[in-house]
Amino acid sequence: MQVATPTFAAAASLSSRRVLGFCSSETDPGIQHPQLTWTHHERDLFDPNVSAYVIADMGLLSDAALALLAGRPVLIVLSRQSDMRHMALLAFERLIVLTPHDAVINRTPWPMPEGCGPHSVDTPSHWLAQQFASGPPQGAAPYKRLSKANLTEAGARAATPPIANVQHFWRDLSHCADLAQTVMPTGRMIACGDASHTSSPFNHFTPTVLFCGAENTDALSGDKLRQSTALVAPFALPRGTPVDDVIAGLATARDEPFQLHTVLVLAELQDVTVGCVYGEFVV
Amino acid sequence: MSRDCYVVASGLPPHVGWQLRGESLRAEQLAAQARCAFDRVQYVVFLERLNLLRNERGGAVLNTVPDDVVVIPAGAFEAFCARIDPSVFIFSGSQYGQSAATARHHHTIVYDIAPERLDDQNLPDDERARIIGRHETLLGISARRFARLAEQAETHGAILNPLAPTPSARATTEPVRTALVEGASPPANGDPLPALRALFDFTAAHADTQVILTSERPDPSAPHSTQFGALTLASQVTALLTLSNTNRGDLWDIALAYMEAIAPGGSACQENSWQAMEAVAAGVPILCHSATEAAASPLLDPFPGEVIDNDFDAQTIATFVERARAGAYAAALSTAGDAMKKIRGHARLFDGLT
Repeated sequence: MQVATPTFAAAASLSSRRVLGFCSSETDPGIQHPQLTWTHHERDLFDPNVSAYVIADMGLLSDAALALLAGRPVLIVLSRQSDMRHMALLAFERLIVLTPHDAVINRTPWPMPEGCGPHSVDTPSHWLAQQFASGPPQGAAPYKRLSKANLTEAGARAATPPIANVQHFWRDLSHCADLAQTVMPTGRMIACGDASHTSSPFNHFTPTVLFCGAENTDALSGDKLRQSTALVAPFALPRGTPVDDVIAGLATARDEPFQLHTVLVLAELQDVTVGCVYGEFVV
Repeated sequence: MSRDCYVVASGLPPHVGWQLRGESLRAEQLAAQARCAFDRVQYVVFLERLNLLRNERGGAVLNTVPDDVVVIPAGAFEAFCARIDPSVFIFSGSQYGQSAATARHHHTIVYDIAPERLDDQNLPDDERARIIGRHETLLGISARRFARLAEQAETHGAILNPLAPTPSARATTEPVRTALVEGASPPANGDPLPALRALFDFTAAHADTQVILTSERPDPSAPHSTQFGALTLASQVTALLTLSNTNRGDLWDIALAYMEAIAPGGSACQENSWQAMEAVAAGVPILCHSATEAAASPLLDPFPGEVIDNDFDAQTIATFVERARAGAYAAALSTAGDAMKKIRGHARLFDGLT
């Protein structure tokens, strides 16, 4: 198992380093910031001194340039409906992993698809100042210490276990959608059960996946499930602590039998192990 | 001695909940009808088929098998037939000809079949007659081809038993129905391009109507792939992957209308329009082509929706949605629901079989 290198205070590093913006020569994003310079040339993105990107025309990026986004935070500017769909498609195919270090500026008249994109900001300053807009779930706070590269690697490895070739409807019990899409491929899923998204026709659908911090087992209790439901539960433990208590806590949180799919260790920090439990309450 | 019945199904019954297919609905209907006549009814699913379905579904979620489903390796079926008391076996699908021949030594056989399936196999006449002759009762699912089945099986008392999914009890607090649901068989069976083009034009002019696509995502090299992609760019359009049975119920709860996106000419028109029948059972009006089986179903009279003879166009879809929104098909849907209930409770279907 590959162990990710710990990176601390990613936000702090962003605030003092170079941010490169990319757009086509016909586009004027109209976004300015003291640390931000714009280019029309994709080759400039490969400069090792760049620590973050602002991408205004994502559809123009080659696969090689898209790979750069795996290691550096990105602010995606959505100006047209096609920009939004393009980002959704890249996330659907898992060609990019959107993390809490990323954000979007949405200038289209359409709302972002729920649970299928990084958090929205108004300006680059807001983005540079705030990653993890909604905070990690209860008990998984050390996730905040993972760099963009750490989280991308975690997302790439976490893409497989809970995925079946079916339509998933996921419910966020921890109110941390931007981390949820890192540890499971929400690009292929549809969010449901969120009172703030009542405009979605799918809001009342029965979930097939629950996202919940491993310590927040109270949120898992409730009425009998209408169908077997997968569980994705990120956790963080002091290094050296066995993981069995976390699994047992989740397995006994509901009356339905719990089937453990897998437990992934996604990164080892100096003093903390962060990972994610994948399982299923069977009906 | 209790009278037992086994429904040999190629799709899992809906309450297993992995995913719904036409075979699932048909097996559930046959089981419901059999319960009118037998003390105990169980589904039989071959282990090999179950594993195929598990792999296709992903196997990661929703993996449970309830008490009324018997899973048996195909190689052990003969021993299973010899071990149990004489019962009635209902085989749903012509692929079970050999299994039916095995079971026939100990049990009574009912054969539920679309006769064109036998034609597809290019069987010699005597072999076809022999397969049909293995069964005490023949059920014909398709009204359009029932005459041919009756002719082939003149001496076997063929019975027309059209597809009739469980009519849903409409909720007292009815959800807001806003979405136009599109569905179709795999595109290899028919050309969906005219329907997708018409739907594209419709969405461009009616941004207020949610459109949900449930037909299979096309292969990138398919001729209609570009049109499908263009359609999904619209903000009110959502393309869904395969749904669990529970989520299909959720879908029908928000469905205002259903459009079967099949154009004439393909073999899809010879398949039973199971999604359209499911929609009607859920109280959702349907728009389909006259060549489809839904258009010919004897249960849909008066027709709860619109039948077209030519290619789809945006205006037809718009008029249909408008009429659905106004409740113009409510009476026809109610009549269809009653007809479905009646045929599912037809206690005499298996009379005389033990």
